[in-house]
Amino acid sequence: MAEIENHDRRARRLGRIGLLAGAALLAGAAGQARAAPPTIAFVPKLIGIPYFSAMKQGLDQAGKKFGAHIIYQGPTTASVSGQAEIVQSLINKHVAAVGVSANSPTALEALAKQAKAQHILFYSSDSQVNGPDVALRVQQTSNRGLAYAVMDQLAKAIGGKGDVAFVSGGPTATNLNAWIALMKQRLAAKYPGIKLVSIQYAGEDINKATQVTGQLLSAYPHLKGIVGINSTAVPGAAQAVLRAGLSGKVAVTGITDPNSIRPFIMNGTVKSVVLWNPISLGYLTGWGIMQELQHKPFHKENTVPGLKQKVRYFAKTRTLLLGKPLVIDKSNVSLNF
Amino acid sequence: MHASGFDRTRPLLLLVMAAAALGGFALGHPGIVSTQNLDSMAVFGIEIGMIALGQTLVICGGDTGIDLSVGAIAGLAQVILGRLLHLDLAWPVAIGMTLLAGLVLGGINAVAISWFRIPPIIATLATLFGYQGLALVLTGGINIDLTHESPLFLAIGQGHVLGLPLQLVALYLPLLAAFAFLQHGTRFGRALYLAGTNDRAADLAGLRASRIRAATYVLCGLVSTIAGIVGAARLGTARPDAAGEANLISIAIVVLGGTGIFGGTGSVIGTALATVVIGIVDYGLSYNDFNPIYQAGVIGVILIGVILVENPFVAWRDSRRTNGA
Repeated sequence: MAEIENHDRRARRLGRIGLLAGAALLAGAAGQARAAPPTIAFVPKLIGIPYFSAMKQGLDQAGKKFGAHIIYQGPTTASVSGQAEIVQSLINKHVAAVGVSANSPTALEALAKQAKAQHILFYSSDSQVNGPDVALRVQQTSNRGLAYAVMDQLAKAIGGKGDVAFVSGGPTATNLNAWIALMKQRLAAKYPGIKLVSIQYAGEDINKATQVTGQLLSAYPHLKGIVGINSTAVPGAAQAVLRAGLSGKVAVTGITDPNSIRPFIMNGTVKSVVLWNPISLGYLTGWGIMQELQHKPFHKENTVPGLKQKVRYFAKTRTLLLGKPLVIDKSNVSLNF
Repeated sequence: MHASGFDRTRPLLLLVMAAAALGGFALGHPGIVSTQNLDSMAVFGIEIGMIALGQTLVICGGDTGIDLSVGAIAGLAQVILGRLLHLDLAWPVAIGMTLLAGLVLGGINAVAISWFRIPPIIATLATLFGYQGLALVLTGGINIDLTHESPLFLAIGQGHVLGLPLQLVALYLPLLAAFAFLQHGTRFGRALYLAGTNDRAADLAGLRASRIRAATYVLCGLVSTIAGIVGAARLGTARPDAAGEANLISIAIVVLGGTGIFGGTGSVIGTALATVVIGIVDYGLSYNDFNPIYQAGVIGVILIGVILVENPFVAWRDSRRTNGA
């Protein structure tokens, strides 16, 4: 009997400890004070992936340099509803500016309107929100610039002629299909010697991309190059080429980030890939918002302190364009994103 | 315990938790207790709250009853609605057709489980993937833009009545009242508890347990559809992945609300209170810039915590009762 009572007491104590710990957790999370510099909040598609951590790095740099407090908060999955909830809580907190890399171009329009009505600057960066209530958009690079740069890298790698194949992600992904169309356009206009023999789709899955590339390699033995259109297709294709012992014989390039492709650049299977620099993108976003908050107008071409390139501004769509894509090769593959 | 399986301990505990959570957040950030914030909490809690009402009945019906496809139904319903609206149908007509589709989606679960005797976890797992896939096919993976639809339609998710969110006053509260009445005030409700407690006894009493359960899946499909419609109107957008997280969170809310996972106990009242707790905690953590990676963990801690706190309390109460008798 005593034993049971003892057990009971212990259980009760455990319960109490749990409750206290919970309360402490909540209270700790709640301890936040409003700072004097303007607060800029950024809500990425999701948190916990290197790409958006790199954008945050750039935003933080801009915040330090231009005097802003940065809040970086996002959902753990690329969820529209999760993003909306966080944006709403930031609006209710009356930050100076709130923005997103949008999971949906339309789902945040109502919140943008609400923010504007409360004199909060609403912006989008990386992936844009439609509608008239978005005060500023920051775009990484034009689709054309990116697609053309990839074809230029491909032509350089295979000497301007031969059969090539594309491995893309989802067959319905709007951005990927736009890039493919522009790549075809570049091939037709500038590299008539390069022939696109096949386009395959592997989703957002590295293993699937490896499998699909393996099939391409056996179906087209004269293949000179493979282009990965999304960030998982490039390392997947490189893996297949490496496994088939064709490193150096079949060139692999495409659109991906340094973290994904580093091992293949280091072992020589891949010479170069193309992306934009998300750190610069975050930095430019921070600068652009500070300009807006201080009511300084943008010019057609802007000099941004801390960025090498000039940044163009399109007044009609209120868009800042970061500029040329970044070619990632052995010299700069140590970038962490 | 009440004859209909209603137990007061959990609802009281949840009320205390809701007050404690709100109080805790207010200690650090007094601004959180503003009409604007409470309004947002309600708006974000309502859709999952509606789904949880349906899930309560399903789980209450016992025989390992569970509906894993609720989020997929909400997403698919939203997409169906979006396609219909883009066909230039009047919005009330489109909503009517979507509700019918929701009944069919729930009905498929019901038939699979009650007719073909497929275990609920497998049947609804299968429909989860099926409905998700169908939603993807219907959209081609693209976002359906509804921001230019009738303002009256958008008001379903964005409007206000007497300063309160329209979907709270016009949809959630009436649904809650209807479900509470169904569960505690009708023959169907009592039959559901009996079916959940003892399948054979229910059958011997002349109740068709499997038919009663089938009805719960249909109702669950219907409220998931309504939640999907509200979500589409709130965001002005229909997406196949709209409510993916609802599949599991709705179950967490039902269990937190005091419904026994093996059926035969619990109440939609408890579910509603659990929705309030989760709504406050979820929004409060975001509001305080709490790292969202840990937010899912917090829900887990609450779920375990409530049982750790409740068990000794129930044991103490029962021992006092036996001693007193």
